[in-house]
Amino acid sequence: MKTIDRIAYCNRLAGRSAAEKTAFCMGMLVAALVLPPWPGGLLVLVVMLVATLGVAGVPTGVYARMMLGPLAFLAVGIVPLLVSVDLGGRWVVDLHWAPDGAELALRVTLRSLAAVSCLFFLSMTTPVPQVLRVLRRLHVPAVLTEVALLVYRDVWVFVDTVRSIRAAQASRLGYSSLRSSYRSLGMLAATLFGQALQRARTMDSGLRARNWQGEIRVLDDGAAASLLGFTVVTAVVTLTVAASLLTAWMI
Amino acid sequence: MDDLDGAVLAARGLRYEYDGGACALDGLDLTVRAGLRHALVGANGAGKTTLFLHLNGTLRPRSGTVFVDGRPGDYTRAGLSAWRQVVGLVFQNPDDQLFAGSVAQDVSFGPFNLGLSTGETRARVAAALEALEISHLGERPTHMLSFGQKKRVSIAGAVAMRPRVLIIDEPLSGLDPRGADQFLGVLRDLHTSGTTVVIATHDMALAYEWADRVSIVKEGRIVASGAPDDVMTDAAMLEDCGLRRPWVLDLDAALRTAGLLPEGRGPLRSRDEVIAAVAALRRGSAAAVESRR
Repeated sequence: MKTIDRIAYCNRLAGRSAAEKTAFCMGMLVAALVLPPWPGGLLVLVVMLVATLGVAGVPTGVYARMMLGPLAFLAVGIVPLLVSVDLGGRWVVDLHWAPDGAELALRVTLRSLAAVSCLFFLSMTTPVPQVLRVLRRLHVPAVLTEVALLVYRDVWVFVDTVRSIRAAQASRLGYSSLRSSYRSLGMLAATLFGQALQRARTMDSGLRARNWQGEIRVLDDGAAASLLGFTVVTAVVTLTVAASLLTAWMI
Repeated sequence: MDDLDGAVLAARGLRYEYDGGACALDGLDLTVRAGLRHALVGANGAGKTTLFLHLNGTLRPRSGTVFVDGRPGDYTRAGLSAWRQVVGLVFQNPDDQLFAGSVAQDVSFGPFNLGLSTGETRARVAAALEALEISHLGERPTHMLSFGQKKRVSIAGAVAMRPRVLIIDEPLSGLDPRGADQFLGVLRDLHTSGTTVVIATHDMALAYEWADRVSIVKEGRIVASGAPDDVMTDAAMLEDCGLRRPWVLDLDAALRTAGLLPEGRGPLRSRDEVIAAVAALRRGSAAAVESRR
């Protein structure tokens, strides 16, 4: 998670406006969901891979590791599509390849990977606070975006806390056996919960000390959206859609 | 009520218990005079942090009064807003205070809350970052900073609001020696620019050298308050408060007992003064040997 965050802050597209990148992500996401998976999904996937790995320069190794999560889900998800079970007789279970199963599985895989690649593009090129700002400008209620921002900030504090508590437990042999591991983990969770409440309280006084009146307003940073940027985004999305429709028609 | 003239902040008879009954403040009196550097020293748990939370209106005393510019603190929404423009508070742990995505954004939070325009806010943020010597960190995400950097950012967040009184809880804790030195420079600049600076610290030498006025906190009360030379020389009293006399004064006493400091010389105040005194001692003894020949 720390890796994604660091990459989001320093990739070759970090200087571009978050609005442009969000528009690109959303445009391609809609394309991935609406277009036929073959060849549309594949095309979206390819374009997003080029944008993320090639243009933004996200390290391939990191990207591949992040893909493992969705792939695992996908692997579990497509098994029922591939295999069909007949409960014919009372004690007879008939297991066989589902008719059209392979094709269906392929379509699901392509569509999911295409959609995931769109979201990965955004999360690996755009820091969370900037995405939240775009959402705020799209009139997502401030309550949601502000809580999300505070959670984002607190996650880092808690990651550090978890790391140090774990180290402290491990150095006193807290993870030496399965039994003690369970115990230590439980204690860690309990401690963290208490600390979260405490932290909410101090954060509240911290904000109030700076005259917080219930709305968080800070300077806008990051690049401004440009007409050129939006033109490029629109062009790429349009080309992808056109190319996939054209290919689909020709096949 | 006694003399509140020239007191930008004052507390009279503050009493406060936390839920669960632990008595945190027990009839505390404090007077902070405008333009002075004021240090609160006291053992852990003496009530310094609780007092600070009272001084900006975050906590409300069970009894007693906090005075801002000689008037009793106003706990209405508008009153608290005005109060926090006068008094800026910096927490000991910067993570309790930093929340925004980037340094500049975090520092801009206070000025925006004062209702300033974007342009004015930008100027304030730039000036505060400059004052804390962290202009180069403006675009950095807050969670990618070192502890010392976070500490500076949290102070910049308060400085950007241009408070007349800046209260800093344990300003040097967690800073390395060089960081601490730079930080003292920042405090000096703030004081020169007319800000009343109040700090809480365990560092007796720092309080003795830096402050114009020192208050000693023990079990929720101020037991002594005055010029450092008046309140920090009594080793027995300090011991009783869980504190220790500053090392410079220990050295001063030892040198005097050995008859090595000239009669009538005021107390040594800092490392530099000690070094100068020792150097003078050496010159003096060399001169004495010379004259004996």
